[in-house]
Amino acid sequence: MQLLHGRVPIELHCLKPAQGEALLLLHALGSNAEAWRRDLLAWDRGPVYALDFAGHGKSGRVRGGAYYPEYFLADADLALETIDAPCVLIGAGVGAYVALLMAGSRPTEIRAAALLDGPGLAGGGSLPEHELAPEEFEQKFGVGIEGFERFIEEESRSYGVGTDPLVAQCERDIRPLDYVESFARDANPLVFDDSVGRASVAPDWWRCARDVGRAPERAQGAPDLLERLARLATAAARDAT
Amino acid sequence: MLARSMQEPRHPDAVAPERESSIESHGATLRLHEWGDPKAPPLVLAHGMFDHSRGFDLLAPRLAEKYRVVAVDARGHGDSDWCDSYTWDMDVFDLVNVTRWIDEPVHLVGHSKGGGQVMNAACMAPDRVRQVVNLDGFGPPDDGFFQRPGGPDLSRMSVAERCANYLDRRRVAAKRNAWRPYASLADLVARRHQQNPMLEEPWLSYFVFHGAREDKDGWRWKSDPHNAAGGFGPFKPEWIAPGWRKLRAPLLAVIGSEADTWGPLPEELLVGRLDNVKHLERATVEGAGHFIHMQQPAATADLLLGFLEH
Repeated sequence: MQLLHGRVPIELHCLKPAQGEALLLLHALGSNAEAWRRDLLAWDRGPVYALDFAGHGKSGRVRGGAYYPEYFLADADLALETIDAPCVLIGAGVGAYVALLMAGSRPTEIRAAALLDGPGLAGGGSLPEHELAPEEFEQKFGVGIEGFERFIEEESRSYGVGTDPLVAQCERDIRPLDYVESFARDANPLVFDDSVGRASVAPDWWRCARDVGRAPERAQGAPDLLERLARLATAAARDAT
Repeated sequence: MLARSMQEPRHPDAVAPERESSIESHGATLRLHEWGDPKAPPLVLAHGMFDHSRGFDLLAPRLAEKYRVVAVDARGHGDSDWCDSYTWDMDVFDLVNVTRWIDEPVHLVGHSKGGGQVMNAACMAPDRVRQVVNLDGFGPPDDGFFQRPGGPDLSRMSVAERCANYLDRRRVAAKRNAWRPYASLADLVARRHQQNPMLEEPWLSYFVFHGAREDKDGWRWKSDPHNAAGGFGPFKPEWIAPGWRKLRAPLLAVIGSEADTWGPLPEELLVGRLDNVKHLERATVEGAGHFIHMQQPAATADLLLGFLEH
């Protein structure tokens, strides 16, 4: 179904209709709702939805190209409003960061969230530009507007067909630890993808959320993930009543 | 568009732009207004939030005696495109793209939000910028402009709770794609006067007329209502000033002598922030609040022409 975020059509895919606690899937940067593993449809407590963030999949592009994770968060929050039922989230890459922000700002509705690896997981690090050495900043993001344009072009090469290249700004945004901490503290328990930190370095925000979040768990593979989410959601629902 | 039901309000000192052009910048078409000899040294003017480039109709003609003056309508303002989302960075990229289009080093002058943005643009494109003037655009106080009149007390909330408050507002804003119409231009003028009591007739009517449009339902602002929804993110006001350490171009930092709705900052805070600027001159324009170039255009022009010449 189509939601409207201002003038931008946002596509919310219902992968499995049902009544009850919904599972909402938030994809990684450059991906879309169709890329999810089908074994997540084993969620048996309610419907399964997958969102296309703005600039991805069947959703519209943001005119003027000003993408940032909190814009995607507002996309996801409109989905939450439409679903109109308690939700659990699974987010990958930038979708994992959005899932954390959403779990922290909507703790009553979001009963649990799982954070998986994927493109856009790291963002631009936890420090603002003035706290980086100029060479470090230039090496990461390039010099001047030409550097910005090159960054967008290079990062967006691996994205799915139809993705707006400017979503690559979500690989440059700052994710300060005190900001992340606030969401992690206010959220219900979070489940972390066990593979992050083994193959690649876990981003600072990720480690911070795991350190300060309530009773974080680590999951390996889809069945384990769904089982943990179901258990956490049951506990959160019990606490809520 | 319907024929306007009223004549353009007159102002004895306002001079309409001589030329206009458009450029593309990251998916948005931006409107530029020009005054002065196209071969004179270029000077770019950037306006503030909810304003538009015709707000320079008093200052620009005075600067045009010596410069090719190019005033930019920021995206979502004036006659530039409405976008679906707005970020500080995109506005700064737009200004850098204007300097690329001009294709020779420019003087950058900005008011309020535009003042902060011309400083960032100069940091980003040092080889394209000669000198910078900031008219009372030194950022919000350290506790931000977050508190909305009549809204919940945000200072007592966690970041996550403030984010929820933002999402609540965003849900409403996501369904509202137009400003409410006002019955007459006079009503819009009265509304703007409420927000900025130091702006007076006949200028205010002239300024509001060019920032509004008439349709079958009445008068509406040209600026995008989605600007009002704002964004949310990890940005902190205390990040503003350290970013200025990269500024190579000389800066003239200007404030008005009078306390006003949006400025100036407390002197101690302003001095602390400006400590980060290597080549700094400061000036205060008497008899002006936040809208320095609208309230004292002649004095502002003299000040700028003096600074820019040396």
